[in-house]
Parts: sequence; C-alpha cells; structure tokens
Amino acid sequence: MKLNRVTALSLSLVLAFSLAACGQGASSASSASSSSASSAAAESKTEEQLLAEENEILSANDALWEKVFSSMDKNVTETTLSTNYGDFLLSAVEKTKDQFSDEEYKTLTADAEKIRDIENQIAALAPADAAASSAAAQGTAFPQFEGSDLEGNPVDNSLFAGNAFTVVNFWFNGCKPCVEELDDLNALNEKVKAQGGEVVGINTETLDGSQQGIEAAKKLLAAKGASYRNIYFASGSEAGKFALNIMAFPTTYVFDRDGNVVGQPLLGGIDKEENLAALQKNIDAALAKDSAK
Amino acid sequence: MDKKKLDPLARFRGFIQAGATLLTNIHLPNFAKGTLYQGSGKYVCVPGLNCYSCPGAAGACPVGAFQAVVGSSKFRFSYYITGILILFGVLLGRFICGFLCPFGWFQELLHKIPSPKFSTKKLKPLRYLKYAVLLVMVVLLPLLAVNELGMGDPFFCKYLCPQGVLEGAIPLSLTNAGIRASLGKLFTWKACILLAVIVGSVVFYRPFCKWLCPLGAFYALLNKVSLFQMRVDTHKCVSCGACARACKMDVDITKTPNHAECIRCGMCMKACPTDAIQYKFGLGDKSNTEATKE
Repeated sequence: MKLNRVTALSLSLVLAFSLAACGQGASSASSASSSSASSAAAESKTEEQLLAEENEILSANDALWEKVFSSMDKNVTETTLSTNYGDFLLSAVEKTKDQFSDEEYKTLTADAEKIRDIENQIAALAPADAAASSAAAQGTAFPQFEGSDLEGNPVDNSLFAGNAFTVVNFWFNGCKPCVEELDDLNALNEKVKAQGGEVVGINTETLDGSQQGIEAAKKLLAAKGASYRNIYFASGSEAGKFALNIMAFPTTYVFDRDGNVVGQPLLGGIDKEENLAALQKNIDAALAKDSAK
Repeated sequence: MDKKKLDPLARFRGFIQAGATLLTNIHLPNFAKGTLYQGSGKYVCVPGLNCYSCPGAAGACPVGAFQAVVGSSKFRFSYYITGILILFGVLLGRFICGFLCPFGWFQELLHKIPSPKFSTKKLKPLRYLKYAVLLVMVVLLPLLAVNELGMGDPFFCKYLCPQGVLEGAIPLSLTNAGIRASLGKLFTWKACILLAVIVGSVVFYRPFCKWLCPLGAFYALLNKVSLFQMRVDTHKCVSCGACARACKMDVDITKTPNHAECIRCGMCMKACPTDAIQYKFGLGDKSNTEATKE
C-alpha cells in the first residue's frame, strides 16, 4: 500500500509538473501583453510629436510659466482634467494676470492659445487612431509599426503607401516549407514590381533585431537567391503581436495601399501551384481596388 | 473478488485518463477561438501522444518535437527531448500508455462501443511495426531525407499520425477559415488513417498502441527497466490463467510481468481471484509484502 502511495505521489507530481508548465506560460503571456500595451501608448507617433511641441512652447518661457504653475489652484478636478489643457492654462494665466507685465501676459496667453490649438489637433487625431487600431486588432489591417530591414534601414507603415499592394510573407528559419518558397517569392517580387507591388518577408526569429535570427535568415535568403526586403520590429509591439499570433507557417498576406488586408491570408508555400493561384487572386483583388480609387 | 482490495490506481484508471487528457489540453477556450496556446509550456513535452497543434494543448508532443529538432538544419539529434522521454520511460514506462495518453484513452472509449470484438493474439507480429515506425519515420527519415539546406520533414506527423488530424486539423479547420482553405490531399490521406484507427479501435483493443505508435515503442523499450513494475506473488498465484485471458494487450503476466506490451492497465489484477498481482514502484524488490518472486 505504501508503494501505491509512492506511485500516486509521483503521478501527482507529473501532473503538477504539467500544470506548472501551463501556469508559467500563462504568466509570461500576460507580461508580454502588458509590455505591448505600454508600447501601444507610445505608438501613435504623431500624437507624441504634438505633445513634444507643447512641451517646447512651455519650456521656451520656462520662468514665466513656473510662476503661473506655482500660483495655480492645486485642486485638480474631473472638469479641469477633461477640459482642453490650453483653456485650462488660459484661465490660470487670467487668474494670475496681476503678477505679470503686459508683455509677459501677452506671451503667456499666446502660448496658451497655441497649446489649445495643438490640443484640438490631438483630439481630432484620437478617433482616427482608434479606428485604425481597432482594424488592426481585428486582424484586418497591419498595425502601426516602426522597424527596420535586415540591413538596418528603417522601415515603417509608409511601406504600404508606397506600393499598390504589398505581399507580406511570414516565416521562420526552422520552417522547411517557408524556406522552400523563398526563391518563388523572389520571383514573384520581380514580377509584381512592374505592377507597383512588392513582396516583403517577416521572419519571426528576427524580431527585436535578434542577431542570431538575422544571420540565419540572411544565409537562408542568400542560399535561395532571395533579395526582396525582409523586415523586423519589436516583438512586444502591436505588429509584433500580429506576427506572433500567426500559428501556421508560411502565411502570406496581401495588403492594400492603406495597410488593410485583402482577401483571406494564404497558408502554405507558393511553390505549390494552387497556393500561388490563391495568392494571385488576392493580388488581383488588391490591384483592382487600387485602380478603382 | 473483493473490489476493495483492488489498487486505487487500477480502480480509478478511467478517471485518471480523463484527468490526464484534460490537463494535457487545458487551454479549452482556444477550441472556440481556433488558436493555439504558444506560451512557454510548449517548451516542455507532455508524456502522452498529444498534438502540439491541438488548440488546447498545454505542451508539445514528444514525438513531434523530436522530429522537429532532428529535421532542423541546426541539430542532428535531440538530446533534450530524448532525455525527457528516457525520464518518463524510466519513471513510468508504458504506464503512460495505460493512464496518461489521451490517444490511448480515445481508443479505449471507442472500444466501449458495442460491437463484435476480435482478439489480436494472432496478430502479434504486427507489434514490431511500431519499432519500425519509430526508427524510420521518427528518427531516420527526418534526419536523412533532407533538402539542400539540411532541413527534413517530420515524417510521422506529416504522413501517419492520426492524433494530429483528430486534435489539430479537425478542430482548427472548423474555426479557422485559412486552415480550412489549405486542407488538401494530405488531409484526406490522414483522415482515412484516422477513420481506420477509429473503426479498428471499436473492434480491436487499442490497435494504434499495439501496432503503430512510436511513442509506445519507445516506452516499451524502457518498460523492463522502469521504476513502475508489476509483481506477481507466486505464493498466492494458483496458475488459473485468468490474468492471461483478461489481458487485452496479449501478455501472460505470470511469465513476463514486465513485458514490453504491458500498459499497466490492471485488468489482470481485477481478474485475479487471489490478488496475487500488484503494482510496484521503486528500485529493487524491497516491498513490504513478502518477497516471493525473483
């Protein structure tokens, strides 16, 4: 009976072991999503630039603004947070008017008005951004990204705007069917150049600029005579999530000029005729869509 | 036969199989979403034959992982996975087949469907097929049948494994349009294999385990040296032969208690009128019952 208990114990250990493995996976997954959330906040570059402009305006007349801030009402309420920051500054300047000379007062109000305008621009940006990111979340558009190609040249979403359509092939180094279609993708790239199209590769092992992954990918591309662009970005970014959520390789998407998905993504290598035909259908659809504009 | 004396492991085997299958495929919401769990749990192998591409899978399939590593251009042999397999084999042997393997349980459930049942005693030579599957499809072909860049295919997964169709292709293609669109001849071929195994399992007991499973073959090799063993108390044994008749894996436990085909299911223990057969776990022969058999 004692031996049975030993058996039962060892069995439960094995089971617990498998459970622990799940737990670890779940926690790492959640940490990944939280880091990507923080990067998502910094992603909308234009908003960031506008905010930087605001800071520049404030720091140009640093000493004056310090005075305004120091005499400000410290009770920040819901209403002050939801009103335009420029308006908020204007009212603060208004209240502390008597501390400043006329000229100083003018610069301050001018600054505040500039900020109010910028705030309005940011407010106008937000819904457009939200729409774009929701399309990305549904997997119908490529997320905003900033990355680089394997040679280190910077690449971002403008990539799509420059082409009538963009064929994006997701692969990794250890994937035999992926590697075996690299030469076919290169041939496709040469062919679609004339139509204003481009083939771009995204190798999931090169994300975050992993040197090892990039070296291996370059070797495979060279061995297959593929010279089209391969790009990478941060694995924690929205684009990184997009790439890592793909579970069958190779997967090949066609995107239009706006970075929206055209048709169903193709699973499988285009070295097989029927797969190439399926991809061609998506390309034709993208071309038709682009010329209709 | 006094039911209370039966080892709890054997008594609750069905529940243990169900629990092991659930734990092995714990990510249940993925079935509805049509996605795979891709966390770090997948760096570890589960003990049984359970497809990596099952939406619920908590870990990797040892057979699949082995082929993936051997077939890659970077490695020629997978020491990590072989090590895990030897650990599982030495600890439990084919106890894994009888208790922890989801595909084994699947075949057993099918066998409960009422139908004429056929003995596999005359088909014993087919048992050796699984060693050939292990050697050729899991080790040699992925290693040797490579392209110019040294990359091989996971031959067993690609051309034979019915568990991959059952757990991977079918649930994924039901919820994922892209995968549905990519199903082709290979899927048809493997669906036929799955169908054959399903029909076979109704009329035979665990045909895939007996004849084809490379994972079962690996554990079979370690069954004799595993810490989990069967013990037959020769003082209690009355040589009635009930155990051999009860054994659905065609093993005579009194002659070969640790036969490569024994999956430790405990049916012989249930059949034994004198409770002469017991599970034993550990090194050597230091059980608290009288040592009787050498």
